[in-house]
Amino acid sequence: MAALRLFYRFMVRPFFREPVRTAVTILGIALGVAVVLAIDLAGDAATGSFRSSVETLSGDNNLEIRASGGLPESLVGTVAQLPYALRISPRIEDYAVVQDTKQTLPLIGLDLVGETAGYADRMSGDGTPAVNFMEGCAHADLNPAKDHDQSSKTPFDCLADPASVWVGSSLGRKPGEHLTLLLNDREGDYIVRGIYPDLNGAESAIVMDIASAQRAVGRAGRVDRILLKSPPSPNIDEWEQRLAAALPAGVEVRAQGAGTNENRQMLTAFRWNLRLLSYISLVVGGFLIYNTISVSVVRRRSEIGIVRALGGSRGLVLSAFLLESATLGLAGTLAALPLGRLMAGGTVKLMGLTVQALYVSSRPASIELSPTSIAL
Amino acid sequence: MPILSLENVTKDYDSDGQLVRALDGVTLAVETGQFVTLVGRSGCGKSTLLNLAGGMDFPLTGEVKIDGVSTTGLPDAALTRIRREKVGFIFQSFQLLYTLSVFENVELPLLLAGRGDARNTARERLAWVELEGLGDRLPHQLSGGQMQRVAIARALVHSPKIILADEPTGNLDSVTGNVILALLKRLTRERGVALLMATHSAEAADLADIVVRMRDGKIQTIEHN
Ligand SMILES: Nc1ncnc2c1ncn2[C@@H]1O[C@H](COP(=O)(O)OP(=O)(O)O)[C@@H](O)[C@H]1O
Ligand SMILES: [Mg+2]
Repeated sequence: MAALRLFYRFMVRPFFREPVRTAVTILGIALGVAVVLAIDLAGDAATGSFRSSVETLSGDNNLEIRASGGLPESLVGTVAQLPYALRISPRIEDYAVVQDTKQTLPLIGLDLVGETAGYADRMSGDGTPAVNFMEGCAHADLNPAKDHDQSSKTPFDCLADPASVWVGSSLGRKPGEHLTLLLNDREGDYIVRGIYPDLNGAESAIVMDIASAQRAVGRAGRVDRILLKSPPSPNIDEWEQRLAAALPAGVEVRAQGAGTNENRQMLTAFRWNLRLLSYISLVVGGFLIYNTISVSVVRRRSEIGIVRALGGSRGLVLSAFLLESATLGLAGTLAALPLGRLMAGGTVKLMGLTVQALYVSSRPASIELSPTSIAL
Repeated sequence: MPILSLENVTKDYDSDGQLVRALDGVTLAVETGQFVTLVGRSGCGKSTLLNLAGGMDFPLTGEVKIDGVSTTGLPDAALTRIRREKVGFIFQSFQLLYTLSVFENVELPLLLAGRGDARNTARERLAWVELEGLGDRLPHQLSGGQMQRVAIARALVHSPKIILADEPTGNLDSVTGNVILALLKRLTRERGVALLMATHSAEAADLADIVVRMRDGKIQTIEHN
């Protein structure tokens, strides 16, 4: 009680007597903390997109075939002719910009007819979130699109309609809604045929039929990846070897998701670099505290002498100054929370650009202020 | 047993590489309730003696005992405890804390000792020094004499056994100074507190039980009045 009163009289009151000085110090500390916070939050947001629908839409496929520069479509036939019971799922993977919101989302071109046929199998399988694309098209005639009237007559026509797209629930669109998308630098009008459920917080992807997607992104006759589901035996390594032997050179067979994991590791490294750099600003904040306290000590030299003569121990004086710096640090950190959140908004854009340029097309997720980043 | 004793004490200062012997074989005892003045030219070692007596510094050789406890080798915490229980300080330049109110200045030793009932005791001590009603003022709103009264109230607030006063009237005009001296003498006598006071003033020497004359760090004479 007595100690508290003393701390208030000696340490807190002077803060208010020199409000400008105090404010500048707190602001300096706040800036340091805010930079670290911003980098951390932005990092979370920039890497967050990896929990995206690209993964959830991978289903229970366990292998992937890819090559740099994509694969010729004919390879799908080659794989299909192999004497193995493989489920084959070729896909186009790109990005589309939703024009009205300027949101960039992954675009996935799937063999919708084939995937829909496998829908029932998969639901009875391991429970991976399969999507019934046919559902959106069963009612296609309820929402006839003016421009594409004649191609929307049967459900299969509707699936293959170059204007048909499916979007995740988190996008907040309704079936029948028109969507202007920028694909391969060309703007086009698309119709939302159906909504598939996004997994907890995952980013929405835009799905269209593979043939439409090939045309839309200008990659006719090519696919980006072929996903495979191999029978449970022999093991996956064995399957990798068998397939690699059957495929031309330059084509890679690997476990599905391996690429994502690689990207994730690179991103993690990138984040650590940024994080270490941001700690420099923390050091600056620390120096500001140090500077303030040492000025405070020098200016109070006679005060310290009096307090010591009147029965204040060395430990008491020391802890008073430590507490003073802790108070400044705490005030700075509190001020840093909204500031860091604000700065993260700008940082996440920059980071998204860098990440995209350096590694992969990763889209930033929303910024979340979590208790761990505050504790940091 | 004396409340304060110095036994053959020496103390050196290093000033610009040159060793200055500030105290040279000083032996002195102050009994409970006694009023002792230290007189002598400026630089003869009075302040140094008071610093050692209050446990603010340590002798080079010899021994300083406060209420029977030697200060030599005592850890800071123990010295601090002795100071806050047994010693009160009064300085020439008052040494009030100028950002604290009069009440807060007087309360300070009690709060430093972790005692809670500080305000009432402070009010009582301010009445002793005839400053009732000025508790909420800041030091710069007081006259020099009033400031020294606050310092006296502060020195007495924790009921010490000895007060060490370093030229308490040095910054006051002689009339005010004499009033302060009389007040100090009356209060220490009434409360049975010993008073060791460095002074230039002849009047102070006349009031004291014992006058210690110093020169060049040595005690020349000890006179009993
Ligand atoms: N902190 C110090 N550093 C160096 N020399 C000091 C210090 N304090 C006192 N002295 C020297 O010690 C001697 C005694 O000083 P002091 O005790 O202040 O005398 P007085 O109070 O009687 O005027 C003087 O010569 C002074 O210069
Ligand atoms: Mg002196």
